[in-house]
Amino acid sequence: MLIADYKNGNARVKISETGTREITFEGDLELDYPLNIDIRVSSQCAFGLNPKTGKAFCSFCHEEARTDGSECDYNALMNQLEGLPPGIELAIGGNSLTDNLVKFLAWANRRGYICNLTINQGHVQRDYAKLMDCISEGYIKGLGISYREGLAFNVPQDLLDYENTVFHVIAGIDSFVSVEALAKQGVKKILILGEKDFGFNKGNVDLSTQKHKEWLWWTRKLFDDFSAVSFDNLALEQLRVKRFFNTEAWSVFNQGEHSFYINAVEKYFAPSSRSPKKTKWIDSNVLSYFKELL
Amino acid sequence: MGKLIRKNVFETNSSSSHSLSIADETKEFVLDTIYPDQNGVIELTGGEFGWEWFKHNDAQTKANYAAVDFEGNKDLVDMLDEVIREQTGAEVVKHAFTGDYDGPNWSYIDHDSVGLVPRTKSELKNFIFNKNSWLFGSNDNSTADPTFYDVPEIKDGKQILPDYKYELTIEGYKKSTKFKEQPDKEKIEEALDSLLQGVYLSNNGAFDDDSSIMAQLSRDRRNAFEFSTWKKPLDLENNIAFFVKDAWSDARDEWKVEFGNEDWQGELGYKKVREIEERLLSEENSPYFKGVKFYINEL
Repeated sequence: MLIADYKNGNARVKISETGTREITFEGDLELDYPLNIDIRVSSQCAFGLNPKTGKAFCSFCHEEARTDGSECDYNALMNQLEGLPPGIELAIGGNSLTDNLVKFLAWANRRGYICNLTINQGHVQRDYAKLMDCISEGYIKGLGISYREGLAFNVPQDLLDYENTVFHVIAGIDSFVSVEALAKQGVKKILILGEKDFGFNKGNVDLSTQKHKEWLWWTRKLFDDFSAVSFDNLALEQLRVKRFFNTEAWSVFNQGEHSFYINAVEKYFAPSSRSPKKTKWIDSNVLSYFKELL
Repeated sequence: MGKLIRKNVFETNSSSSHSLSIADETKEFVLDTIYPDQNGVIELTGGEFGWEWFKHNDAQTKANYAAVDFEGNKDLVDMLDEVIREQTGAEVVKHAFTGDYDGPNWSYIDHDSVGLVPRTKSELKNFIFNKNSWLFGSNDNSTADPTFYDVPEIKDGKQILPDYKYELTIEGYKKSTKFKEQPDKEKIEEALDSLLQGVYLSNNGAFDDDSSIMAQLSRDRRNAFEFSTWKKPLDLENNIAFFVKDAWSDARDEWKVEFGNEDWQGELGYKKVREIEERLLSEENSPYFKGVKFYINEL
């Protein structure tokens, strides 16, 4: 069943309840709006940098989350999103499912935006009841769970069974073998992220390690293990995923970049979360920023 | 019209977008690979690519075939290794086979097939890793099933299976074959040849296609019927194929009684046996033939 069917520039965008998105267009793709926007709503995370110890559980966090971080001003974020048509996807990185975030999700749902939330695996048990409520209310369509190899695997069966749950793994931070084993633990869909040379992980990326090489050698196996395997742009590059496709298939399935990043905590736009090119909200808005990026 | 498809996932990543998603129904698009071991090594162990009928579209077998084919030509071997390294990420490609019968992983390609592997890098990559590229092995000593060269084609996101319109079945026998078009006499003969090679029919009409060594040793071939269009052509009017029992042995037994002392090379020798055999086979309701009904059904 379609949950979105809208016109965006010269394209028609259809999104189904399982997340399948089909974009059809004549000539070159020319969009008036971003297809999706990545939004950071909080810099607070229990696994982030603890200023008292100077250490972070996720020592590679490219977002530089902190245990004493803060949540964004949702009213200001809502103002920024005004004018976007229904059907646009919002990919929200929420370290904690706070009441304010739930209210924002409800608002976005009323506007017809498709909200997809990603939380850390270590926070799933804590926020389980709220997550299930948000899913049943339709506030959240896609649920991302950031996998952490060092944590006990205690994701509730309901969430494993939810058809739009996607586990986020990082090639080279997480070992290939542990990710492959997720299929046996009931995980059906994964998103493979490249290892970012950014944030806490700046200067630490070494693609020549055994761990990274195993990803390069064996990634293809995961296509057989999971019902859906996705990649972000960085993973496509680091794992040389293009080698697995002929030119025609690549042109159909490679989505390219039609999104940008909003850091709602620090109130700026950027082409992506790992880009140093930041534009302050006071200098632009969502629509004009997207046009500038084209 | 341009088209971009993201399959079965929402945009959950808040740090960079899902750029590519492969779901169950799109996996057929993905090129094949060969997995290096934990040291980044791919070992090609060659293979015996002889006279038997075979078809393969997996990268491992096709790479082994190419390696055996290229053996002895350094430029081609280097190109093959480069293609494999680029596609798989492997650091080392080892050729672990030999053309010596007594050596490890003795490998060869039947002389009729040598030289068929592409000689340019892009074509070689396509041959090995594209699952739409098939390696067929054949010979001219036996007949292939009509479906042998029909392979699924992966096109426009779909696996396109052959569209068969007719099926040939044989009364009492479990195997059948299919045709894309209505078969003519020649096609029917080829299909029956292929289906019934090595199949025996007993006196009571039971089919026996056990090809094990034990079965071959223990089978009473003198009393088993074998399919033959040579000794008795197909009856296409009534759709009957004939199995023939050995009449030569009986003819020779009969010859021994009357002509047993004659010179085998003379007029009353083996030529006489042939005459007797022909008589036995041409008798009305000859016990040396068994007819089996076959059907061509429209699907």
